[in-house]
Amino acid sequence: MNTPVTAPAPNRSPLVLQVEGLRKSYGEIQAVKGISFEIAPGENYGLLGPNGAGKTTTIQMIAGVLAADGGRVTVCGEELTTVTTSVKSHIGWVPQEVALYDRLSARENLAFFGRMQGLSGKELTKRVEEVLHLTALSDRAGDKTIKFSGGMRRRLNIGIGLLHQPDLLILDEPTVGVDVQSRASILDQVEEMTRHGMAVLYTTHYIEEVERLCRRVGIIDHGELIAEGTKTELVKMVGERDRVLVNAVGNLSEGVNRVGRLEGVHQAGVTTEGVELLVDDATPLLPRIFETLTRSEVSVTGVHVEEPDLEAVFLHLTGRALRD
Amino acid sequence: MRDIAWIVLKDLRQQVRDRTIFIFGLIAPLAIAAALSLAFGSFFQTDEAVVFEFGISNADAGGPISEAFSVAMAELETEGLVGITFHRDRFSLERAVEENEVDAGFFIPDGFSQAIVEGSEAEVIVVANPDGPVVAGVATSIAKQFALEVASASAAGATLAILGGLTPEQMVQAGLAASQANPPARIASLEAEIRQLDAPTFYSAGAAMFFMVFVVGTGLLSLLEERRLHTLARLLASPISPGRILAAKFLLSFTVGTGSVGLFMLFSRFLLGADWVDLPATALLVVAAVGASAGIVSLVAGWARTAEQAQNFQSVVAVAMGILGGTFFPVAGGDTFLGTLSLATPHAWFMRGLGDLSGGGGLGVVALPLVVLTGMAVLTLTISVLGARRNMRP
Repeated sequence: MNTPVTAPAPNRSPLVLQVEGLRKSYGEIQAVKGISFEIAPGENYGLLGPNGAGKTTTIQMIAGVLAADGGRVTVCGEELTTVTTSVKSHIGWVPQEVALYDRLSARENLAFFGRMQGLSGKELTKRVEEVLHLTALSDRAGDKTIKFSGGMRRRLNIGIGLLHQPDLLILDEPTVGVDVQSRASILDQVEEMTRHGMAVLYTTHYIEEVERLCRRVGIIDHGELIAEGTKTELVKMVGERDRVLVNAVGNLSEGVNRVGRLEGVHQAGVTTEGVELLVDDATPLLPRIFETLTRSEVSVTGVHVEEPDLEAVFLHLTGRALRD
Repeated sequence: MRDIAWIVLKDLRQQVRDRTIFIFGLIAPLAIAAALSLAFGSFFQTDEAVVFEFGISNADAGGPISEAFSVAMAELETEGLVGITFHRDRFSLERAVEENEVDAGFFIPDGFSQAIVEGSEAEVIVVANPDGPVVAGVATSIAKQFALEVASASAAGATLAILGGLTPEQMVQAGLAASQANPPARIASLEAEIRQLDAPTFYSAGAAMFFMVFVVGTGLLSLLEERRLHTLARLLASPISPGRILAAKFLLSFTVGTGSVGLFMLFSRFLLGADWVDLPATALLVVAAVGASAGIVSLVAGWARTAEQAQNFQSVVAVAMGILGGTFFPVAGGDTFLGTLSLATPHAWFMRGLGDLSGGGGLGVVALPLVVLTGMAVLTLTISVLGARRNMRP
């Protein structure tokens, strides 16, 4: 899984993807309500939201599979619709469900989809072998995919999206229903893509995946993009604070009283273990907290800092947990 | 065109690996044709084309119109389409039918010609054995066709009468003369119902058509299957237009249909002794019939939401059209309700075309079946393509 991925052809457009006011309804239900965002070349953008938030519908419209009711999708400077064809060659789409032909081998699946992307001859053969190597399926290349494990099918599913070295790789919940080992392998693979300049649009409802892979995150709920930015920006945006747990003994009430008056500390209290504080940003404050506690005849034996995560941000924004 | 060809080749590869296509396209029709040929081959008497024997009893001897009927039948006999024997009265004709000396008979009552001349009601009585509905149907068709000829002659005579002041008898005779000036039209209209294929060819053609309907739905079923497997979405995300994906699926149906029938015809010739005369004309009939069947199946199965549902729809259509189209047993002549209904199936026109070809005459004699089948194909395929577009979504 560590074979380098060839970098895609340089893209002259400043943006790989530009989504403007995208809308989609199914009867009375508005699945996507005017979503807008952008992705720059080489950027890994995460679309985070609970099941049914509208992530897949959004992704399918961006991939040109589903017709939008309104709005505009521009990929590498070209507008995309369900009937435009040339612009689709800039996109590699990995659907949420494994989309393979069971009665064809891994190599035959790759060759077929490669041909659909316009690859042929030696170039096709070369890319098929590279992707087989990348997905660690070279030794099973001739086997029908119906005989593959779930993890192998997932890896091949992603490999097909990479065949034609797209400018934009769209991954729709690629780790759903995958074992731990395959999941780690898939995440490594995605990191590798980004490292080699491919822009990635990654949807998931797993916070840890977005935190690991994506520089910028869009939070989607009920068909709307409710927040967007880097993790730090999002946390700041909603005003979430760091929680500092200090293991300590001594004059704890005096220590809490003094520390509570420090700038940047919003809440301080005594616990059975020591002291608990709510602060704006723990890292620059910690030396002053230790100094103040020591001067108050409090002996510090340990410290633990809990930074707010995207789960907390989501909870703050929607009033419910991401996996509710 | 390359992308379309790759999709068709990919689907064919899967079909071959699945082996179902061989069961429905070759093994099942061969087995059914062989079984039916063995079980019911005696219906056809010999391996030669069947010639029906008709008896005629004319109680209106000397009447100009009843004599015209005898002349018309004699023309059919000269063509080798029927055999004729004359009987002195109705009783002897009925006995000949009962004792199977003849397949069916025509009794022309006394005063038949005079009644027509006077504009009264007149009828040719068909004497047939209830056990032989096919022959009865053919005999009824002949009698009705003759009645149409007489009506047309009367109309022509009436026109002459207005123009030339003829007597009623002169009027009818003039009309008859006018109608007899163009006998081929009369014979041609009866020919298809009289000609029959030999047993191995009939049952092979029937089985080929019957099972072909099961395989021509391949394209649409494959489209629904691709939706189930999510590969359709993947194709839609590729730089290929949805219309070309649809074109590939219909081309697949056509390829599988013509391929399986062609292969079956080859095998049935050597294994069952089926006699496929005039191969170019037969090939054209096959192509047109496959197109029409693919269109009808796609039209019906196009309502399905899943591949399984579409398969069920396809089976219902296959069995209904197979029975109605006369692929198992010949359907009574076109004058019966069933006969008329059977003309809505490509099977009936395909079987009729093969029947026409068995009498010789080449492409010209199958022009009508070819035109009808092609019309069916164009109409149904156009509608089903428009309908199938709603399936072009993830």
